[in-house]
Amino acid sequence: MGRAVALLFAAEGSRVVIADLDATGAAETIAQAGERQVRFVQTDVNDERQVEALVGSTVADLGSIDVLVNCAGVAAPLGVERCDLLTREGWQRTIDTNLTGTWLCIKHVAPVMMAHGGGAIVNFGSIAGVRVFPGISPYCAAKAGITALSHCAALEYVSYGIRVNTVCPGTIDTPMVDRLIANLQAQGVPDAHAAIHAGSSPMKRLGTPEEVAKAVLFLASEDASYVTGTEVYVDGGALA
Amino acid sequence: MTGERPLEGRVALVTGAGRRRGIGYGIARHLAGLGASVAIVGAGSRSMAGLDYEAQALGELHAIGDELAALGHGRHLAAQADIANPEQVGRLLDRIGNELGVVEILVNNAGVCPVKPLLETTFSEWEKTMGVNATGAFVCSTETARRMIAHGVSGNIVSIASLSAKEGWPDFGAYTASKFALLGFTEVFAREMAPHGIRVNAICPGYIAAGVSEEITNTFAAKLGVSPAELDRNTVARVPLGRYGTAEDVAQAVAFLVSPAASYITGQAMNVCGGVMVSH
Repeated sequence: MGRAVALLFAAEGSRVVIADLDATGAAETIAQAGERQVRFVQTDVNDERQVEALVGSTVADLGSIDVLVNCAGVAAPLGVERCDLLTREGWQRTIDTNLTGTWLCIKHVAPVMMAHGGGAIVNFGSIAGVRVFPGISPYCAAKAGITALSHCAALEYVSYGIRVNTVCPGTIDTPMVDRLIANLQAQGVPDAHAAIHAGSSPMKRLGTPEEVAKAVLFLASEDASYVTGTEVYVDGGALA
Repeated sequence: MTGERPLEGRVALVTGAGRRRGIGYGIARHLAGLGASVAIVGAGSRSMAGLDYEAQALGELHAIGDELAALGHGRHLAAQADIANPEQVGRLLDRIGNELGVVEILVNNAGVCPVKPLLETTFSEWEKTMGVNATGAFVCSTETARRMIAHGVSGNIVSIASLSAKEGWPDFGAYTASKFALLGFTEVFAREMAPHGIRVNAICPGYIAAGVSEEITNTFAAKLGVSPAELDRNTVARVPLGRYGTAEDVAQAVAFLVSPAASYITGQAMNVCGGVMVSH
């Protein structure tokens, strides 16, 4: 989804910096962007010094930051587990990447936006933050936390011209969902693929990363100038 | 983010658009500006007796229709109908179908809003509020969707709800109940229409400066014993973004929801409120 966001913003004329641990994936995104301005800064969003360096180099190169999209996240890096079976490491890694990483990026980008008269922050929640999936409690908790974090940030920065909103994707056709289906199949669920696709939403299909990216673009745009502290669910009606 | 006239050739119907400076008027203008052929419907002769609203004047309705026609290349139509009457709505939709084409975008905007605590709300005020705000949306949506399905149109329905669809507003009991009903309808109809490719969404505006809200402000201010200006100041003070919303703010959200950019969004109730929803 991060790639789709980066490519859409680049196509709209934005100068885009992508921050990710995965240099190979980032290189593919840059290749797909072609002539568009996309640059990569390898970053662990859970490492404050790296986030500081990312923001510093971005401001040095581009002068400012108008839009922050916090998309980095993992669902269940160490597998699906009941609460009492979760390892501390599995819990922590999921909370850190999703929730702490989102906070750290806000912490270091917001002052840049404040100094330049405002901006727009779009965080990635999930329908899992509202309607949970058993077995991935750290992910659900982190995503619900992101929504609350977004609400606080929306109020804290509103007088500085910074809007903060949350996009909550449903089941989107991404590598994360591919891994989930593979896990289920490995656990002996034969029609996991069909079940995930048909059961994902009343539309009976997965969403595309591009559909999520377009909601991000709307929230970051002037068309949403009166929209802050709110969620946009891109879920094919799953929560309805 | 989209082409200059992305709704060129599309037919839209906006209810409750018969009054200048209202939200419906703003939405109709915005959609026409994006190239849509817009039909508007006003309450017409249906009396709002007991509520502090006079019937919309036919003259103003048609003047707005002319204005919309001048805005774009699209054709336009202005009519009066009781939106809670299936026969009248059916006739209106058939007429729009003949003159403009099948409605692909329906905006349920018509609404009434008595300002009274529930113990003072009369049966007839309750019935009228539910009738216009909830039943009207049900009738218009189902009659329109039937025609969309018959013509294989993957259309869009957007209802203008309110933040009061998500929290109780004292002194706005009938209104709040009708808006909760509207969201309930939206969620079910979104699910039922998904197999037909029809998306059904709602917008929950916060405090919007538009024609009717001025009347509500006046009524509410009198009730609270403060001047309308003072009530305005108090209201704006509760908006984190520090201003009233505009009809245009709502219209831009409508334009997003009916666009292909929102193709995976249905059953949604999107706040356009300047942060009010999270501030208290």
